Formats: sequence, structure tokens, C-alpha cells
Amino acid sequence: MLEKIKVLIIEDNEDLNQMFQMAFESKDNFEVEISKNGLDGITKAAEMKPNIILLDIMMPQMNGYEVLKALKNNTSIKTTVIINSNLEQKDEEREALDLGADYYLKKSEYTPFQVVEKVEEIVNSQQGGSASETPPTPESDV
Amino acid sequence: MYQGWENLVVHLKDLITEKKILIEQRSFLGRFFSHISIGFIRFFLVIIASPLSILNKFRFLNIPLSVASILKKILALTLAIGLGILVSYLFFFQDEEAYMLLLFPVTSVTSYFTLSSFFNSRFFYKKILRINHIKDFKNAIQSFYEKKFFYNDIDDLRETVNLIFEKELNISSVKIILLEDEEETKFQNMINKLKEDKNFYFSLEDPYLGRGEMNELKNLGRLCFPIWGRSEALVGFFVLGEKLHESLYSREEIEILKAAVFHLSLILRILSYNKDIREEVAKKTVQLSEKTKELQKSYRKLEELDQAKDSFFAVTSHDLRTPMTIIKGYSDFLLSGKFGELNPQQAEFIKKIFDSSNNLISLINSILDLSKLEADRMDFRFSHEKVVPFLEEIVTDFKVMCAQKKITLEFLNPENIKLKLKIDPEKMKRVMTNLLGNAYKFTGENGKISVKIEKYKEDPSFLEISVKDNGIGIAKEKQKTIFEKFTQVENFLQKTYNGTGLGLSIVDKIISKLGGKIWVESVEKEGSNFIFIIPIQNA
Repeated sequence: MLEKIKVLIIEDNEDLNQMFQMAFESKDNFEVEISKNGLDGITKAAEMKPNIILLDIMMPQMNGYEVLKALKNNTSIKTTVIINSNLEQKDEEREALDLGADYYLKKSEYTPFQVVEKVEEIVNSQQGGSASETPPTPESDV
Repeated sequence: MYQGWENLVVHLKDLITEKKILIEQRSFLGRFFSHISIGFIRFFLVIIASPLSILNKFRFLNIPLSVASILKKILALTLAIGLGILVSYLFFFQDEEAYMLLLFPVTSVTSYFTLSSFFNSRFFYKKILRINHIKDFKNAIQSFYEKKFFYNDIDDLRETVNLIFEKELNISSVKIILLEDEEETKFQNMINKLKEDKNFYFSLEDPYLGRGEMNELKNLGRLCFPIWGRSEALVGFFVLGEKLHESLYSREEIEILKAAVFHLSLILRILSYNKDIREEVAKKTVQLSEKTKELQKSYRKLEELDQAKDSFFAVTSHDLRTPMTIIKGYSDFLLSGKFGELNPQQAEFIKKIFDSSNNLISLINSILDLSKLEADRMDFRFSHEKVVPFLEEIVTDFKVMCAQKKITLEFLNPENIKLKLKIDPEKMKRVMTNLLGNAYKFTGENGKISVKIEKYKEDPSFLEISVKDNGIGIAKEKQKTIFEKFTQVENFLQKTYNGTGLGLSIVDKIISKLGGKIWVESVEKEGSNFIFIIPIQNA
């Protein structure tokens, strides 16, 4: 693959940011940008036009849902949004998908490498043409 | 004999003789006219000051009764003086000057008393003024009955009584004195003093005051009727002053007034009941508003608690998981070898950190789920599912795992059930994976696990699903507590089997939320059979 996959991580926790950045950069075919808040994330998304946005929900000032709405309202940004959150209180997953998120990952259930694998899977499936494939729901381990 | 005295008598005789001479010197006509003119002047005075016209004016002008009685006295006095002069002239005109001097005061005083008692007499009012007083009295009091019976308060009643008795009947100072009135404490003290006096009692028969009772009472008025309240207790007095025209009340008037007092006592009784009711209502209203305030307060507190609970779930789910994610992520980095090789012991330690963080995450998830179930905050999303294929799919997922441990896993549907059930697929899956996971965990190699579905024999409106194994089994005394929190059969600290001890209590709660029930049948060292029933709803 010649062209690099552009990933934008919108996440307020610095440790998590560093962790995900390291995981993505351990592979050659990713180009990673980090935003520490929602507003910055929207600006960066408009600039770099990423293939994938990894979006957190619980963030100060502007939460993930608001970012998601703003991204979906901006028609110039065409990107796959993966919600990566630790929130599991009510219907976060459904709400996010209703708002136009493409995938929902439960953050604590994946290691960063697994997240990278998921992203690769998603990108491959999109390039493979089967865009209407149902989002892979994470298996819940009891 | 005293010379001077004789001289005085002689002088007086001379004086009278001189006058006589003087009078005789006047012509008959002159004497006649002088007498007639004086008589006319007096008579004219009488006509002008006609008691009838003046008293009638008092009546219509609403002159205060005290002023009216003073005017009446002045009138009687004027007439008496006039009459005195007239009588003196007419009867003793021959020695008029001297006799007048002697007789005038006597005649005047006598006339004053005669006239004033005449003006105050019933004869004067009845015959001269032609007033049918009793009829007026009756009519006025009748209007008091007819006006109204229900009064707002005592002031309302006093206003009406004032209107009827003072304005219409011209009775001075009509008072309703109530013993409970704070203003009347002075009066009450007086009454208490009177009560101590054995000779005094309040009588309806003889309401006249001023016959030896205390001076204070005398000052109140002419008549004093006691008013009896509830349970024959004295509540006050109805006091009437003098009438405009007549100081004494007739027997008939007193009889009519007695009826009015009875009417008054009834009204006062109703007012006192009303007051009681109003006080009670006011008291209850205050109590109610206090209660409402308290309720609002506790409701607000509950709402706050509710919100606190919600934010507790959000914060714990987010803030506990985030650091765990970081621990898990970085230990995974170290284990991956991409950041330098670890020696075997380091690798083992990091692996333990990784596993523990995974365990902790699942423990956090379980605790949160259980709290959500207990706080009734778990979301259930129901859909109609074909129950047999649904269960078969879950069982199939376990088959690979069981094969590794050489455990036989079978699915039995002896009644060939093809029902559609209204269930929450996600929660149902959790129940099944938990039960199957437990069976797998506690069953040794070459064991057997069977999942069976059938109609519940005791109640066909329920479906019975069981997960049976031939593992270590559960001791009888522990079977009761197995669905409670943190009770794993084996001591949690011994760590023979991994697990939080929360799985079964979550399962128990989910099943009861679905309207079902779960129990266990087990013999130690032979195996356990977890059975649950769920209602078959009309699809």
C-alpha cells in the first residue's frame, strides 16, 4: 500500500494519546495526528482530511457527540468515525451510531494493537468494496 | 317685742297697700291686656317649643341621644318657668308682684317634674305622638331575624345589631360584650367579682340594671341580657341603653328582646363553631404546607441522590476504566517485544499485570452491572427471537472451548419446541454464557455439559432452560447463598477458580427482571444443574 492511512485521534487523555500514537506508528502505513480537544479536532479534521477518526466521548468543553455532529454537518469532511470510549452507562453506542458514527469500540476491552488491527480491518473492508458490511460488534467476555 | 320686726311688718303692709293702689290706678282694659299679653307670650313659647315637632326632628336628624335628653330637659325647664309665671299671674293677680315672688319658684319646680315625667310617659308617646311603639319594636326585631342568619364574624354581627337597635329603634349604646374578647378583660374581671357575689345572678326575667348591682354594670346601660353559649356557658352580655323617648322598657318589649337575645345566642354559637372550624382549617393548612415543604425538600434530595447515582455510574464506568485501559495497553506494549526484549521473569511479571488488569476490568464491569440492576437502571431492549436457534448458536460458540478440555457439550430439545420468545437477546446471551462458563470452569476433563429446553412442568406458561454438568458440584448449605453477591463456592482467596463471584447474582437479577426464576440442583462431587424459567409471552 503506497498511500498512508491518515488517522486522527481526538482524545483528552495524554497517556492514551501517546499509547495509541505509538501503536499506530509501530506500523509503517499509518500517519497519526492527535487532538486534545473537540474544537481542535474539528479544525484538524478539516485540514488533514483523515481516513479514520478515533473519537472519545467524555471530553471537557466539547464532548464526542458534539464533535460528531459538527463532523457530519461539514460535508467537505468525508471520513470514517470510530467512537473509542469507556462510557458504558446507557445507550452510548446506539446514540453514537444514530448520530452517524461508523463503529463503536469499548476502549477497555482492546489493547492498542487490537485497535490498530480493527482499524486495518475496517480500512481493508472499505477498500474491498463491501462497504455495507455490518459493523463488527465487539464480543463481550463474561 | 323687738321694735325693728314690727317696723318691718308695717313696712311690708304699706308696700302691699301701695301696690294695690298702683294696680287699682290701672284701667281694667290695661290690666286685661297686660295679663293677656303675658299669657300669650308664654303660650307662644309653648307652641314654638312643641315637644312633638322637636322630638320628631330629633328622630329624623339622628341627634345623639344624650343631646336629645339634655334638650328635652331644657324644654321641660322652659315650659315649667313659663307655667310658673302664668299660674302666679292668673290666680293671684290682685297682689301679683308679692305673690309672684313667693309662688313662682314653687310652681316652676312642681311644673318641671310634672312636665318631664309627662314627656317621658307612655301616655305622651302613645296618645300625643301617636306612636305605636310595640309594633315598631316588633317590626325592627323581625327585620333582624330576617336580615341574615349566617355572619362572617362578630364585627359583621355587631354592625347589623347596631343598625337595627341603635338606628331604627333609637336605643342608645347597644353592645354585645363577649367574655372572650381581649378588650373586655376589664369587664370579665368585673363579672368574676359578680360571680363571687352570691346575691347576684343574671336573670332573663329581670334584665334591668341599676338596682344595687355594681356601679360599673350600672354604667353599661339599662338592660343586660346574659347570652348563653355552648353547654350552657355564659359567653357574654347583650346590653341596651336607654330608649330615646322613654327610659323604661315595657314588659312586652322585654319579651320581644328576649327572643332577639335567643336569636343572638344562636348566631354566636354558629360563629364560635365557624371560628373553631376556621382555626382548625388554618392549623391544618399550616401543617399541610409544612408537610408539603418537607416533602418537596426530601423530593429534591432524592432527585439529587438520583442524579448523584447516575453520575456515579458514569464516573466509575469512565474513570475506573480509563487507567485500566492504560495499564493494559502499556503492559501489552512491553509483552509485544517491540520496545525491547524482556527477560523471562520480567515477562512473567508483566503478563500478571496484564491479566490482572483484564480481571479488574471485568470486575469493574460486573460491579457496575450489578449496581445498575439493583438501582433499576439497566436498559432492557426486547425483541422476538426464535428461542431454540438462539440458544443453539450460543452453545455452538462454546463447543470449541469445550473440545480443548475434552468436555462433551450437548443441546437437547426433547419437546421439539419452536417458540418465539420476547427477550432481550444481549442479556439472555449473558445469562447463557455465564452459566455455560461456570459449567466449563467447574467440570474436569472428559466431563459432560448438557443444555436442555422444555416446557416447565408445574406451570406451562413458563419455559424451562437448564445447564447441567457433572463437575465438582455444590455443597447443600452453599446452594442457598450461591446467588448472593461475592459468594463463590470455593473460597475467593484460594483462587482455585478465577471469577468475581458476581456472575450468578447478575444472572439471578437479569432473570427476575425478565419475569423468571433461577435455582440450582446439585450433589457434591457429582455435578450441578442450573435451572431457570422464563415466561412465554404471547408473541
